[in-house]
Amino acid sequence: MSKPFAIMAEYETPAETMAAAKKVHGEGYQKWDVHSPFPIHGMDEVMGLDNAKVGWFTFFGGGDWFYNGYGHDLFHEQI
Amino acid sequence: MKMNSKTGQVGNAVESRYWRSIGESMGEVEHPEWSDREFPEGASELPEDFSRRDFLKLMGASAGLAGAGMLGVGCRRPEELIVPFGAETSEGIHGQEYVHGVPMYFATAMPTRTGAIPLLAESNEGRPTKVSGNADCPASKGAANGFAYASILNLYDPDRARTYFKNGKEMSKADAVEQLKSLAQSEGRTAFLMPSANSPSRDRMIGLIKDRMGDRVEFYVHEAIDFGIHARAASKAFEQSITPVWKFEKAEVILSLDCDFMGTEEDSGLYTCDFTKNRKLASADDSMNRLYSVEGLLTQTGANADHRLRANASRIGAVAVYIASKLGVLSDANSQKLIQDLTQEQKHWIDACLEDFEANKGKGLVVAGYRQPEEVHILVHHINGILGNNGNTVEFIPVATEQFGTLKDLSEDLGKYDRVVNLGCNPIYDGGVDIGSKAIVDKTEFRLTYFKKDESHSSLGKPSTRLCINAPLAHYLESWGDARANDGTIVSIQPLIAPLFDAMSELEVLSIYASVNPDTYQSAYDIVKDTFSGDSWEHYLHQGYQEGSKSTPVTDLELSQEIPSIAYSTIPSKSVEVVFTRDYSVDDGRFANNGWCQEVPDPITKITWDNVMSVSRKTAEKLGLEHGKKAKLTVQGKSIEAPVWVQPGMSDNTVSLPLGYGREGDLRIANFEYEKRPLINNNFFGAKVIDVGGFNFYKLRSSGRNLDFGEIENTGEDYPLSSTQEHWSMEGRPIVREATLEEFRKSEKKRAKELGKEEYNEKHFFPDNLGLGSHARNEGEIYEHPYQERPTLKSDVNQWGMSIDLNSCMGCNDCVIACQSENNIPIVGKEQVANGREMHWLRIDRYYTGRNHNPKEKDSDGLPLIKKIKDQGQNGDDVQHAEEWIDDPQVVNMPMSCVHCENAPCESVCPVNATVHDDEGLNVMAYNRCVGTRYCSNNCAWKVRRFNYFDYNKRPLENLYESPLTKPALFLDWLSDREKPSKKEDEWDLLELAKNPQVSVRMRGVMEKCDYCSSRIQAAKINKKVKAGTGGDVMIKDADLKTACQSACSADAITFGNLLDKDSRVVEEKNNPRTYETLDFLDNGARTTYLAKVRNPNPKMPDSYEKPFSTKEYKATEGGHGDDHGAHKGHGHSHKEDNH
Amino acid sequence: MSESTVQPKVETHTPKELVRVPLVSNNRSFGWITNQVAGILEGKMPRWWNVAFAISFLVTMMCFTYIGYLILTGVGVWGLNHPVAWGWAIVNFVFWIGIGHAGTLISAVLFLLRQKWRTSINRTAEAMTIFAVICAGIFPGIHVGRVWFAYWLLPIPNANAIWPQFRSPLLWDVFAVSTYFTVSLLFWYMGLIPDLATIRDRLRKNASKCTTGFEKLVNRIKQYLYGLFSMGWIGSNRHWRNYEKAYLLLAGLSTPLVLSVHSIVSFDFAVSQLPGWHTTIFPPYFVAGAIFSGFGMVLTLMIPMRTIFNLEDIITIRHLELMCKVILATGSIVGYAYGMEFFIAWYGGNPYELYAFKNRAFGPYWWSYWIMISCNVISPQFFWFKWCRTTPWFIFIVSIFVNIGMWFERFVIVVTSLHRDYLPSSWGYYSPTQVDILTFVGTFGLFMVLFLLFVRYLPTICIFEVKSVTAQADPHTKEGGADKVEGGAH
Repeated sequence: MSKPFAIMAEYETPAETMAAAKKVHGEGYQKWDVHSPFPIHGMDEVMGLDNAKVGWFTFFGGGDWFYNGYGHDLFHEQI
Repeated sequence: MKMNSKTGQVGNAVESRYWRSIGESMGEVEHPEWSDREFPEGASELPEDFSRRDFLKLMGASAGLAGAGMLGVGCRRPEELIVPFGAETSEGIHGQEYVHGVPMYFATAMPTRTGAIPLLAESNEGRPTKVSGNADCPASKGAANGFAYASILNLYDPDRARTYFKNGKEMSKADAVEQLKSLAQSEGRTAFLMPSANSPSRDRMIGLIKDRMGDRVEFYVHEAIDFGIHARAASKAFEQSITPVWKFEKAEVILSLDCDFMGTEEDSGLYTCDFTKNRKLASADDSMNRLYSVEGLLTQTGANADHRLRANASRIGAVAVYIASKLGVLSDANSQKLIQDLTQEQKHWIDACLEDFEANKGKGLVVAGYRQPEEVHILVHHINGILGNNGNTVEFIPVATEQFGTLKDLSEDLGKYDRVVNLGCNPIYDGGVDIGSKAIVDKTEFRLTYFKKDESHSSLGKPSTRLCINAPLAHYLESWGDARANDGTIVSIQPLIAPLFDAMSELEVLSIYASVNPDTYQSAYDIVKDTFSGDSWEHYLHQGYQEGSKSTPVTDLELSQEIPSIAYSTIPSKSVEVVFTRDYSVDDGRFANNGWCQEVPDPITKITWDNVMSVSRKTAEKLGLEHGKKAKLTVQGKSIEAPVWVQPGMSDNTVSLPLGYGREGDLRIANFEYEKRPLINNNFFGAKVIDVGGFNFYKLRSSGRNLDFGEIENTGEDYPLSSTQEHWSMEGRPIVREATLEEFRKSEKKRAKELGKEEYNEKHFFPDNLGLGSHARNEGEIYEHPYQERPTLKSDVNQWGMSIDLNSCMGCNDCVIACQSENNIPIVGKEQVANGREMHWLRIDRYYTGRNHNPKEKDSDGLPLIKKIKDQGQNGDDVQHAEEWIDDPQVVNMPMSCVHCENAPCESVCPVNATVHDDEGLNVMAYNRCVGTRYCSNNCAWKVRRFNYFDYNKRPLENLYESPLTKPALFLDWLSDREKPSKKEDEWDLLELAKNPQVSVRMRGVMEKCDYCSSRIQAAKINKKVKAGTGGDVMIKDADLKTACQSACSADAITFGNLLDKDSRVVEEKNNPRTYETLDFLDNGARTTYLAKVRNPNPKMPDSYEKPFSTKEYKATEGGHGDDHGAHKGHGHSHKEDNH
Repeated sequence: MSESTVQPKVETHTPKELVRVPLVSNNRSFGWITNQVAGILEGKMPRWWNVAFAISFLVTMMCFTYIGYLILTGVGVWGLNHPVAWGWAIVNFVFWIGIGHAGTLISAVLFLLRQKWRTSINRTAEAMTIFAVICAGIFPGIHVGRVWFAYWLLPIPNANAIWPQFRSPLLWDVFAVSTYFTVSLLFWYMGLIPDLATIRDRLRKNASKCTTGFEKLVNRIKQYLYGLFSMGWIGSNRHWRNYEKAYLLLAGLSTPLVLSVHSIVSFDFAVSQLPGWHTTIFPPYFVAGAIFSGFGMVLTLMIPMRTIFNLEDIITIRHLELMCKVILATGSIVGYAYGMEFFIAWYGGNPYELYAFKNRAFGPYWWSYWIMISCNVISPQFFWFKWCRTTPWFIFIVSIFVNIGMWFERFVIVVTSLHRDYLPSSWGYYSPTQVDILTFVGTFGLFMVLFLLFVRYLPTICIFEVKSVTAQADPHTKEGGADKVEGGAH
């Protein structure tokens, strides 16, 4: 009998999904995920996920834009 | 040009058909080598040290070669020596040397019916491109007129006759001359039919022909508009051969009896010049003349009069009789009967006017116009005699005694002659309904004709009918001649170019007839040279006139006691009087095929491309005529349908009929037709062809008659008219600012007293900008002033500015045409003018102001005086032609072009930096950079920017809406050569020649506008620098530079110059107390300012006024809290001080 | 005295429970929502779609033909002239840009304001925005005299090192509109990703139902394309976490655009010195007007759509009513602005300004002014009445009026100000040519072509967002299964 590759469970409602996720997280599993057709509020917390990194990408992207747009004028000698 | 005159090489070198390159025309022998090579040396390979100078040289040569390819229209210089204008030193005349790319100037003159207009013609690479008045000539003082400026385009008219032909077959000039020689030698009686002229050489030739042929020859002169009336009447009145010369500059009071001396009279430019000399007020002590005008039509003269009396043209005689009887000249029964027809108001008006004349004896001037009959003119000489004016304000100079028969005489005498020789008349078109013009044409055996296919063509071209030799008539810029100008000074007519189509001049034909042995007939050059009696021929040509040839005025003036009585005529009831008049734009039709003339708006109606029957509002109401719709006019059994125009200021029961339109030949401008395309005009019910030739009122006219009576009735048929100004009223806005002389003097005296006091506003008596001037200044500037932003950018050598004197501007349009000629401004055609897309960089705004034009005023029934009927007039405008105030309006004119704002609103909105400021204060256009967003035009408060909605230069006007998408042929053309113009080739080739090479030609999609003649500024700066050498004297002074409009203005109303030159006239004018800036509250900082108009009413006149009507309108306008704001103005002024 | 005391009569009644009207009515299930929305593009398009598409396509081709004619011939084929150098082209540009306003407002501003009702309409509104901006973008491009040099408006230093002029509002337009378009497109696309994945997955499921080889091929291609654009979306919560954060940030970034685009478009006028254009009220007034017209167009599109595709349970009457309220509010703001313009013109004491406004109302173009007033100010006032707000056919009619009125507003601003300005000598009149009119009509064709393709190939309603606002998506409700879990979800 081979080792199972993964275990999948399906739930009817978001609440049940969340309860299951809470349990899985509580068990200390690392490589697992929840799939849903819409974002379930509170799931991040239940799964123990921290803040997304998107904000940093956005911030540095904005910084790049600012530098390109104004930085030449502000930080460099005028041509 | 001192073209190797000693070696005589010029003649040989230029004998080739085309003028090929500079070197060649200069007689240098470079070309044999060139002709072997495909390209000139250096064209394909660049030498090592190839400098910019070499490049330019090379380019010049290549351009010369390119010229050789021109389709049968090669430019050649005249074969004889012509003398350019330039400096004269003790060593002789140093005409300007030819430098490629630098224009040359030649003195010449445009012959007119009674004389000539001395001119200076500009020549670029051997082709004349521009004419302006010859300021050095004392006979004209530099004055010219729009017809002269436009005449350059006649030279390049693509419809010009190009070949000699007879019996439908073409022949060479040599053959034609041979046949003419045998004609001259053949038996039989010959009648010559000629246009009117005043040329010593022509007179001499006529004398020679009469000597040779005796009574076998007779000469007839035909002019549709006859200015000979002045000489004829004076000769009769004084019983000697003289003609009057008016001296308006000496006159304090002037009365014009239907005399449009500023507009349609011959020499109007000179008279305008003289008249306006006394209107340039700068201080309270300056005097100003006063103009009274009695007229039926609203003419330019009437529009500028201080007092204007509306009287039917047929009643002007009665006015003259009334004056004469008051002065004790006439008292017979007929006169009394005439006088009875005048109304009490009219009599009061004349009485008060006459008082003014009696107070100014010897300083008054009464003039009668060409439209009036001889009897009125004679009476006027008597009136002037009694008032002591003859010899003072009106001089008389002798004229040739020779009197020629008229066309009518010829028509009656025709049986006596075997043949007619026609030297350029077109009786089929303008002969009049009572002339058997067809018979005259049928008898014509030789004919000079300017147009290939004019009205006579159909009867002449048929092989079966006539064996007439048709010869192309030369333009004055291609032929030798001479003439006597207004004061008798002999002026030279010097050609600038050999005849483009081998055309013949009148003198050449006469010379063949004059020679006993026709094989040795003289060339026109020799004739003129032989006629010349002065010391130096070269000097004469160089200057353009013969010094000291001015006629001495006749002092021995005795009036004939016999005063012919004026025929009593009254307008039959249910009839109107019709007045045939010379058209402001196309003369008698001779300029009808000239696009500039067709497109220049009539100075009064502002209509282009058409003539209309002008009537007064009351007449239109009474007879049920509709503004802009056609009516049927019947005169002596002949009738014509033409559009009616309700014209402010017309006298009642008068219809004006401008002549010169409705030509029927095959002339592409005069008969310009366009198709009203369903795609464009939302005319979904099929395309309609609109004929744009105007209307031929000659079809109603008996020869020589200027007045007649007829019936008119509305047909209700629509007719599209293209007017450049839809709105008549100034809406109470202080755009043209006016004051009376009294107001001006009072204010000036006050100013002298209060000068230096803080609260004093120096311009307080002119309407301010509706009280905005004081407010806006405090708000700070809308746009950052570029010079304040970066002061180092400002040039400290030249700063350009312009000042326009509205008191001198008579609204004649001469500057508009000069500008068009100088700046390669295209014409756009009637349809595009109707769409509001005319391209004139400079326009003349004409506003009417009414005595009772007060929006708040009520009439006796408590109804508003101004009827506001909405949305029914042309283009959605109010029905201004139904409003009462237009009946007797005052008229103001305002030349308007780019005012070159310092904080230019156009510049700040252009997204591509196409319109920018230069260091000398010009608001310049970089055409190449313009993408055509038109934002600049929207933001321009003066709306002086002009957009090329189509490729007007390259595309035929009738096909502007065609594109490669709608016409496959155009697509193929476009594929093969994208630069190829779709204009007809013959037209394109000639129009190219008329272009000024100093100014770029704009393509479609590009904005353009007045640039203060940048090209002239650059040329002046270069000249100045060359002259200055290492010296630093590079500041441009008045003498160095004139804009095209400035040099064109006979009234000297436009002053342009360097604001940094403290001695310049423009600085002087800007310090004139009359100076103001239009829309100054916008704080755009216009570099063009205006000098306010000052009217000089006579307080004793019944129609006198304390303030100009415009001031009243301004005060009546709701926004114009004019008076009560006076108190604030000091406050505005002091704030302005604070800002600095 | 009697013992009896007067007892206050206590009326006992149970207070009415304030129940939120659900955003999806009839308690529809997740499956129903997916089937209903995905069914539109999975099924065969009805005949009317083909007819409508054919007509729109032909109209679009006509538009491009007229544009070709314009470019080859000259701007003169339009009715422009010297006082009125801007006509229908600019009117249409502002009109379309205004319509393009609702999309971002609905998707960004309402998102930030937690207006959950936006979920049913945001997809279509955003699509409409993008298509409207495409239509709008055509006009500034073609209205210039030399179209082939229009790229000079972009900040590319050309061979002569000439930059565009940064003082000109037209240049700001270039930036504002292109930024707006880019962000709207990104926003729209981002919202589409989870739904595209849904479609992809359903296609895979349906592959077995394909009978012919051709159908199989089409299915494969579609799977590939939807798969490509769904970028490997598997609905993992780790995806959702990043997704929601990104969506929030993008909403935050694009909110200023809602204000900036039309403010900058209004600068085209406000920055000039023309009476009637030169007013400081323009930026807020333009923005309000744009939202007004945008919502008008959303309603014009939504009302027929919900009926045709049986989406009444997703786009409920409540949605329509809320939009009507927005229209009422913005319409009244616009009406206030019209009044204020007149007041300021009078109060400012500038006769040129006063004339410009009088001329609008009573001059030759009075009809356009009164069409504008009746459509924009008067017609939305019906929405004070509940019946008017809740009757779809009535709303549809008013929304059409709003569209017409807002077009006329731009016409009034552009044309009546230009045709009579400072110097009466240059006053003129403007009327459009057939080319003007049909080019504008043509842009409706283009808009419809794009919109029909959108309906055909993309989910017109944001499936996952609609699901997320239903009760059963909430783990704290009974429908969300809270009662099945011990202690409920917290």
